[in-house]
Amino acid sequence: MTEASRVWMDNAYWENYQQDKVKCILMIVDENGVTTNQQLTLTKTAVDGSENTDWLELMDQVGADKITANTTERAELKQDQRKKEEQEKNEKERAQALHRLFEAKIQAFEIDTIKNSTNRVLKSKLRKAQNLIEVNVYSMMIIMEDINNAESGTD
Amino acid sequence: MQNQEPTKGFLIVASMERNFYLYAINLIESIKDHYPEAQIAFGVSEYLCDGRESIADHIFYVGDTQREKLIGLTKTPFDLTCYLDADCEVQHEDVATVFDLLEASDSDILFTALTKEREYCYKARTFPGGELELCGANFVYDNRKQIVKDLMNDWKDLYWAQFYENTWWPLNEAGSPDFQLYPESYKQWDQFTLWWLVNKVDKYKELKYDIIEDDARWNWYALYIESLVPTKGPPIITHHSWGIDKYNKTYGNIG
Repeated sequence: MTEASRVWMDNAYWENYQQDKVKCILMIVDENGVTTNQQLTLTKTAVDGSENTDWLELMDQVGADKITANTTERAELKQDQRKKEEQEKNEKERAQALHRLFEAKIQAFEIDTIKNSTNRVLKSKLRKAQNLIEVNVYSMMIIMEDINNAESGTD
Repeated sequence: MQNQEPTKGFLIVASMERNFYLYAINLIESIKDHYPEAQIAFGVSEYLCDGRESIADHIFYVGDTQREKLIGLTKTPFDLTCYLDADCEVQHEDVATVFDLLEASDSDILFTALTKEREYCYKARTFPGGELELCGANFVYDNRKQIVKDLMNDWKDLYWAQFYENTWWPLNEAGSPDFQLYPESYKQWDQFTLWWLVNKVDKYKELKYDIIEDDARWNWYALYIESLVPTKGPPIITHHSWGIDKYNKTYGNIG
């Protein structure tokens, strides 16, 4: 393939803080007008210590300042994305917990003693329970009340 | 002569599945917890009853399909009716304001919304011929208006024709069911029927309806992600939509 033109895209970013390694895209247009994009990781110098001509060309076309700005922007975007993913994960877990809580309350109200209890206050507290521990505590209180009533012969 | 104060109450319907009955009882109790004066009408399949239904102020029996709600809507004993899906739970005292919101509005019905932003929670919303925007899960309606009564009757009748009797579906120019614009998979959804009535039936161009303010508070799906569904306050009604694959998939009904 004979290259008609080589253009380094201006979205390159540093791969390390020493700024001697860069991720970039080279756009090559051949003599037939066909464009090929190559994603490359360039180092400042070759293994033998010689100058990397691709590097020099990239610095000439895009420039170190632009690459630094891209790197900062990319890091901020990634951080925002991570935060958003974390937030969505936490909220999803909370939604799932809410659903489990709802099912637990429905199950609790299927226990005969709770179902038949006339203690509206405790039953209301059970319905408003904010977590599984509260569900268990209020369920237990209703059952204990029933046991105590049975022992003392009252209802 | 003085204007008579409209009667106001909540309508809940539970049919077919025992879980719906349990959810409905929980919902009724939760309404009374937060709004002790609330009047409640309960439409229920008789064979589901175990006595707990007596907490409702009005009880009427319905049949054994999944969409008895549509029959229930036509049988409300109240002038102003707040219909709630059985798998909801009231969690805030603001529930008592629902009738004030309807009376203060210029609308015959206030719905909650199905929106693009909340689509991740819905089984279906958009189709080539349109998009569902009104949620038929929780809404408040003025049953004194003839157009509202007609809508509720037509919603029931058309859904029955659409799904149970298979005698109605929108037609294309060739006179065949138009499954290109209106996919066959939407036949199961009564919300499609509602969409059709309010968008395609001339009679209902006169219907005044709107979305209730801060609507997500009135129909807070348990799988809503707070940062994606901003509200001005905590949920008033949480919707635990029955039939979901609980922790990984979307809801088993539209919304």
